[in-house]
Amino acid sequence: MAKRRSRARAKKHGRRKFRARTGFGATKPVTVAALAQQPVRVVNIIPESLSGESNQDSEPSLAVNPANPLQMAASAFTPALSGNAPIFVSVDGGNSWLLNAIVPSDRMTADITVSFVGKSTTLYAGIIPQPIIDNTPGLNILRTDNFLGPTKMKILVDRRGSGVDQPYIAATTIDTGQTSKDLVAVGANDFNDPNGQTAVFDLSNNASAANPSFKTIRVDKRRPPPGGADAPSIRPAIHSDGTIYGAFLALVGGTNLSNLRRDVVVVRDDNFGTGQNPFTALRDPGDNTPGRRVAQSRLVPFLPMGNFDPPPIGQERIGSHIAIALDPRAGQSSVVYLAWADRVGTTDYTIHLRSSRDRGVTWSTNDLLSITNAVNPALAINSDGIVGFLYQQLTGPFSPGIVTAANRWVTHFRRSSDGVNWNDLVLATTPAGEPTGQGLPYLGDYLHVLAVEKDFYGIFSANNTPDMANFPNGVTFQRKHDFGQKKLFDVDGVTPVDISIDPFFFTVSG
Amino acid sequence: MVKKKLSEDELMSQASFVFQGTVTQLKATTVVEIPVTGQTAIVQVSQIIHAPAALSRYFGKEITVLLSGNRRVKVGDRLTFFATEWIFGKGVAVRSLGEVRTQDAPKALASVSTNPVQALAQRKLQNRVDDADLVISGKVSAVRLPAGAVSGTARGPLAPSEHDPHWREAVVEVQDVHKGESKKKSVVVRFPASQDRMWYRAPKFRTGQEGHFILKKAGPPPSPRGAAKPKGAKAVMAPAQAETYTALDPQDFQSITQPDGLKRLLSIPG
Repeated sequence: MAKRRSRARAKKHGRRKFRARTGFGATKPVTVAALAQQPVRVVNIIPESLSGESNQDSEPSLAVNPANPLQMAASAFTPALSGNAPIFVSVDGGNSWLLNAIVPSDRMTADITVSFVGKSTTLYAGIIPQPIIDNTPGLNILRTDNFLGPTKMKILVDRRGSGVDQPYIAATTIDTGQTSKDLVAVGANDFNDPNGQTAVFDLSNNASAANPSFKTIRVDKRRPPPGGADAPSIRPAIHSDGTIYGAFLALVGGTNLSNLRRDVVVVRDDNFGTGQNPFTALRDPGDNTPGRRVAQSRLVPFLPMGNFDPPPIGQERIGSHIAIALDPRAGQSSVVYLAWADRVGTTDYTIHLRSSRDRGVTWSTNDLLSITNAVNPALAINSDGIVGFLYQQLTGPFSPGIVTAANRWVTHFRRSSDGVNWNDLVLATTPAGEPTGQGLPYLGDYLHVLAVEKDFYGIFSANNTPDMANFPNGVTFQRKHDFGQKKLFDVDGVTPVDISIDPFFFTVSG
Repeated sequence: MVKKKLSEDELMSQASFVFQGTVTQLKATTVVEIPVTGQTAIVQVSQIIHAPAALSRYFGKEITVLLSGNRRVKVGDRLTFFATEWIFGKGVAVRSLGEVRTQDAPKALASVSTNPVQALAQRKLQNRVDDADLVISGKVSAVRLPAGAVSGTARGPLAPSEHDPHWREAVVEVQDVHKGESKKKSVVVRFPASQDRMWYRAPKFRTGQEGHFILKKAGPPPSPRGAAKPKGAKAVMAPAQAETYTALDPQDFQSITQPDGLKRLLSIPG
């Protein structure tokens, strides 16, 4: 009877029912439908056996398997104790997490993002592997069919050229009815271009093949001023109908890192990135060049400039934030949302949110939302067409480079069905001055949100003080803690552990 | 694929977690999420020889071991395991690179420190010294930009990367040479001033620092295009004849006032 009710509930909520029988270990009494009864969940993903750590686990990324949303993988600047770098994995819908050292990189990566595809347990990753050879960061694209197993992820792409930055992955399954292939696109800032047109996608239309081929596609068709290049964040978004959007920040002016001027550019391909001239489907009406300039000549400073300068905002650096998401529903790939950050006045850093309903040809003239002094925009649209918008905003009196006890990092997740009316969930509000940063980035140069069917899943990094007041929608910790004392403890439950930056998984049921 | 059986030296150098224990269950696991296979076993830890901090707390506890497959193992076997980490969850699972009967374990294990975390750190330090081209004691007499360098990259001044190393050079007056040869009175140590996570833990030198340096020969210097001089560093041309090295690991510099570590390893008095 209970089973029938559960099925009926799953059907009512339009959710497929998955049990946590994953092929890995024991069956657990967890279903997606059951998890959906908790409208908001926030989970600190540091495992109990690592309770003694106080690392700065910033810049998180998240993958949820569309074929079984109980299966997840996450990444952050989390070091292994030795050997391979680790990823976090979950097989119970994010309630509990393990750390699995299977990434072929020395102890940790310089950057990493992860993605599942559509119809398997295959997990892909884009990383900058360690160690850095000849001081030139390289790009690896990785794959595993068993994200919980002990075998190292397979290296599909290994290249350095003149260095790359911030590989950011998107992937899906292309289903032709008779065959299905994995489409993997990794956006990266690839400095191996003499003219500084550095925004690229490394793309394969058959990444599940034994030895897939990837091609590197340069998507910036405009030459920057001499000595310039695109900003580090290059973001792909893929629709199952073959549409792929890309977003990046192209340099157009400036004399030093404090006054860089950039265009906000969106490119599009309509056939899975294939063809002679991929990513040229969208032209700008101003210069008839591929790449629609959604906003032009925006001030995007890259700070701090010097190693002895304080980070400009809440212990965090700035200089490259952009996010793009499309409507995943059939026939809806024309709907696309875009967020980026720039400086509107003299000291701020403001996120702008805009949308297009005609495949990127025209865009909302004004911001749908403007968020002052904020970083890390991320976007996703669910199967009802509801857009989810994640970001982290610094609150309290603002003075560049100065952090006081009145400053807090507030992580928001907002949703809207029309782009006009937005609700607002505060997932975390934590002191911006504590803990003291251990290098940059403090919270990360990015975070991530995605949608599987109606549900949103995301990840952010924040101060890990176990204080329920910091998590207005609740939180669970796996690592040893005491909410009453607001303290962390080592695995013995007695030895105090310093607070640090941890990754927090969250899900919001549609 | 047939796994290569590692020698004792290889096991010692590759394993981060060396411990002795008794096999209590075969085809079993303490971490419910991972698959039970013919190679997973539960082992009660009876002695820890080398361990990172997070694994040093499992004395007397049961953990999961993914056996190497290089020997037949049965319940009750007392073995020395040479392992690396695999899974951290509510419990832990480790990957064994090889196992030997405890009575056959390398004699070197008998003489290690009673603190397994220190023992591992000391072994890693030994590895750094073994791999070094030059190990010296000395004093930093100047910190400067590499000749003509700005950010230490070959890119233009308006093409920043979050991972730019921001190279600096420390001129180190050599007081003593412990390994390698240095014919000069000073050597140049190139180091990243960047606060980026990729470089954050590398030693950051400043004038007047005195201590012991583990050095590797530097690769070709960066050939950047010029730009404005960053704060905090003098732009001085490097003498062409200077030997240039790097020190990128946190263990590559030890202050003269710090006890143990390199001092003990190199038998440096004081």
